[in-house]
Amino acid sequence: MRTALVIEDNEDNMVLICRLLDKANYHALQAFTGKQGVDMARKEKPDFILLDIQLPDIDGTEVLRQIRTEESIATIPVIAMTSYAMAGDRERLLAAGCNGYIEKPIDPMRVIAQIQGMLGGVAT
Amino acid sequence: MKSDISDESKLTKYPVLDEIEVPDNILENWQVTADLLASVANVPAALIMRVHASDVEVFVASRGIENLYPRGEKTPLDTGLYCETVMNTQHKLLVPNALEDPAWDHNPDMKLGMISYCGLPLTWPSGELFGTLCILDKQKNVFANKTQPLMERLRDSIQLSLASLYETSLARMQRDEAEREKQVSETQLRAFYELDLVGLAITSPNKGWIRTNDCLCKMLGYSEEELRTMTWTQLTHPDDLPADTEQFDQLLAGKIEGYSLEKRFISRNGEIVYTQLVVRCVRRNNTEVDYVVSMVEDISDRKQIEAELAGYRNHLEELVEARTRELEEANNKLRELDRLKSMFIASMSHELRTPLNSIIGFTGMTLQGLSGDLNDEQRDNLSRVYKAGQHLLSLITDVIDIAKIEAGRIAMTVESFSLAALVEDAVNTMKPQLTGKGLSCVLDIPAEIQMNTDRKRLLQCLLNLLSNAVKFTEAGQVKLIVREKNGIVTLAVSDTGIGIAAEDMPRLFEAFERLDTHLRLKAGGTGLGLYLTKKLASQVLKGDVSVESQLGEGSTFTLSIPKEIPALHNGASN
Repeated sequence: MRTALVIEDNEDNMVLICRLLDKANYHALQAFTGKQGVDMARKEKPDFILLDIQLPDIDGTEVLRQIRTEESIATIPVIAMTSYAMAGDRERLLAAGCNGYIEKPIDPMRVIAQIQGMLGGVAT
Repeated sequence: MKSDISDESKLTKYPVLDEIEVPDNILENWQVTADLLASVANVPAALIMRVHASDVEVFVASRGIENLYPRGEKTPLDTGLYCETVMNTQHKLLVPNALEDPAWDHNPDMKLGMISYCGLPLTWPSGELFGTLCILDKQKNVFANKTQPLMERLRDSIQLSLASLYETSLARMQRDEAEREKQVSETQLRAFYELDLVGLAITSPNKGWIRTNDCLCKMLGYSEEELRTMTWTQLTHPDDLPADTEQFDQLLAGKIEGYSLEKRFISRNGEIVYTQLVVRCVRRNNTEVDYVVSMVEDISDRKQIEAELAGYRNHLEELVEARTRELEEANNKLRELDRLKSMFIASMSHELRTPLNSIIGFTGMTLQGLSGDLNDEQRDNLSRVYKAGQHLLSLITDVIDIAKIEAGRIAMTVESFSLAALVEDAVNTMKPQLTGKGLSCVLDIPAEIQMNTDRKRLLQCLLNLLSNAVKFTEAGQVKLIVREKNGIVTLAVSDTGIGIAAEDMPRLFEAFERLDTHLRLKAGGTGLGLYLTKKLASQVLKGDVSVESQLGEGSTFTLSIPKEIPALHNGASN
């Protein structure tokens, strides 16, 4: 079973994503802050990370930067999740080294397929 | 004076000098001459005749009862007098016996019985005629012996006195004329000097008043006598004194001949008099200043008007400043409102959509049966919640987009992409709705078109048009025809739906304008789709959207946009 790390501060979203992942046979780890997320990534070495960009402590972009600059976890695929209103996020996040981009609100009918599509091009 | 005479001569028979009066002493001399001549020649009459403009006068007549010519008698010209012949010819005339010559028949002298005559012309030195010296007799007379030489000597004597008379008269007349001219010019000068319009002064090199006219006296409040004991420096406003004296010194030094300046005098009652001063100097032998002439114009009225104008100007400036402040405040308020609006949009975007995330997410998950089996009613209930959530989401998204466009804050992200891929994406998204209504979808896209514009916004526009087409079409097909020409790409979405009435066309692209149709409730939608599409097409994609339709015959919406948007449009459009 593959392990996903979900970094998301909103509890509803966290529950939704984790349940969807669970139904699709992923093991979901939960981190509610950016710092917690980086620590768990370092410790658990998940197969991929779902990263919310608006976080209460450190910005998702900074979390991404820290992951990408730490050798042991630098190659873990990261899929960003961000709110629609954040213009230009997509380019900025892709440039910062994330592997995919899902716009919130997530579509429960399509999100697993979206994730798998993005991971398809990445060796995991 | 001579010219006057010659002018006169044109109107009269002889050039005559009537103006010169013969004084009594000369007249007495001439009387003695006439008496002597009559006596020596032994004739009844010896005369000195003087010609005037229209007659001839017995000017001097020898005394004696036999003389029929009274002194002062005047006879009109052209009556045939002997004298007239003398005057005409300007030569001596000797008539020994007029009875022998019929030419003298009508001679008035003959009527007096004077049948013999001897006369000599008398002229002024300037050539004008004076008259004649003549003797007349009642009998034949050749005026022999010494009579004629005596007459000639007496004539010469008279001519001499005429000459001297002429000289003195001429001199007097010239003197009179000069005097008259002088009087005229003095009168004119005085009139100017006493003119009550401008102050005039003659001042000394020591800055004292010498003469001042009434106007200046009134202006300063002093009499001319008082001013003569003062200098103009005493009456000059202290602040204006340096400028005046500096120029005055240059005048004295011979560097300038005059100057003008605006200066203030202080009048007797302490009032300030604003004046325009013009100063010229008169030099003795072209060197030293003899005296100074000044013209002083009272410009207090002008100054007052200037001051009033300055007041108005200042007031106007204050008004403008106040208005500017008000406008700035209003502007600041508007900026603050705009900022609040942007904040509101941002928080709408986040805060309203976050709960929707849960509503759509959990109902969607449950609807898929991921949380266990559902009965039909449960599925229907959740399906309605899910659709309502999606509707609310698109409504919020459209409102946010419109707010951003209207605030000029819409971001533009230009990227390179395949149009065919984008169309496929759009059609795939629409597929559930198309199949749901049993509509076919016809695509007509030429070979690969590579776009360089805002992909997301183009997709949004295309989805809006396709979604409308599906919404208002109950049967038939939705067709998408893509063409490219001269860098402009057109995407025409046609349907076989209800069409649009001509009168509804103008309102079509307005916000919240959904045409009242029987499909209205069934069709759903936000009412913002076409409005937003139009805004996105023009403001983000730099193109336009147009429509052709006939009621009951379907509609065609055509999106025309440039294939490429210049790089400078990349990023935020504002």
